[in-house]
Amino acid sequence: MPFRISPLFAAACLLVAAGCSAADDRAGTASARSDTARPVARPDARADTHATVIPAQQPVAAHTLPGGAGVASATASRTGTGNVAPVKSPLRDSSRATTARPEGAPDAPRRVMLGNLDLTGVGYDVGIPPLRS
Amino acid sequence: MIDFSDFGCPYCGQFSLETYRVIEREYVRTGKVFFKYVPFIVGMFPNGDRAALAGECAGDQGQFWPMQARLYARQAEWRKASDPAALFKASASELGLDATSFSACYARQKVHPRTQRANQVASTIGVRVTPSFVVNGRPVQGALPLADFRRVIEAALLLVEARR
Repeated sequence: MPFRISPLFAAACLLVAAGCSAADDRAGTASARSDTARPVARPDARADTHATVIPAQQPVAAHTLPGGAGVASATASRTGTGNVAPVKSPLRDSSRATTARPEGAPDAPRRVMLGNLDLTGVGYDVGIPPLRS
Repeated sequence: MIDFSDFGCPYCGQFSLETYRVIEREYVRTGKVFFKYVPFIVGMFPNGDRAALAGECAGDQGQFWPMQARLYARQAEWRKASDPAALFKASASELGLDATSFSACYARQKVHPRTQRANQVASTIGVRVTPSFVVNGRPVQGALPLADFRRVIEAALLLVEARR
């Protein structure tokens, strides 16, 4: 008796294959979403569901920071105690970084560096920049 | 932890009004994390530039943070306004700011010098996503879930501790 594939069986196989393919697609999508949601910025990660991406005139890697990874540091003039001062209330000091200082601390600016970029006086600060040991 | 945000960006508002409050309580209030908020203008959000000016004009009177909270809380309202000045002035009045000084500041300039500086910094760093963060030198994009921020911050704190 010649071997024949029943049309019903063939149809069932196609359905199963299609289902697997769809499942793969879903898994791939989920994986991609998971990757996208990872907190570390990568050139291909835009955190689509959490952020607005600025249209680029030219490609600029968002993770390109002066000095590379791990370059952010903060320096400050030493306070009277020589330690990082605890944040005092009210926490949200409306003054600038250069003027936010604990009580009794000398009137000295606190430098905030990001690589070679001096961010002192840029933006608004909460808390006290840590001292570089 | 440095936060680059635009007042017109909904995700920036989401982070500031929700996630940041927990981060402040757990890490900033306890002295573990120093937080810097850098409001800059992306240029793609309706009235975002005017909101930035309103924020800085409030900052001139030492009331940046209360104004920041109001700007984000009422973002949907002023974003769709043809002229948001009245809304910003109303917020300034509610905060008890000097109305004359605020109005003069708002009318005097197109971009506040502090915003210009923030724009320069954001451009230099290459910020292309709002909100964007730098946590101990590590870039983080987007208003990610609190758990993600906790992980990044805890990792940074471990690194700092290990270097001591």
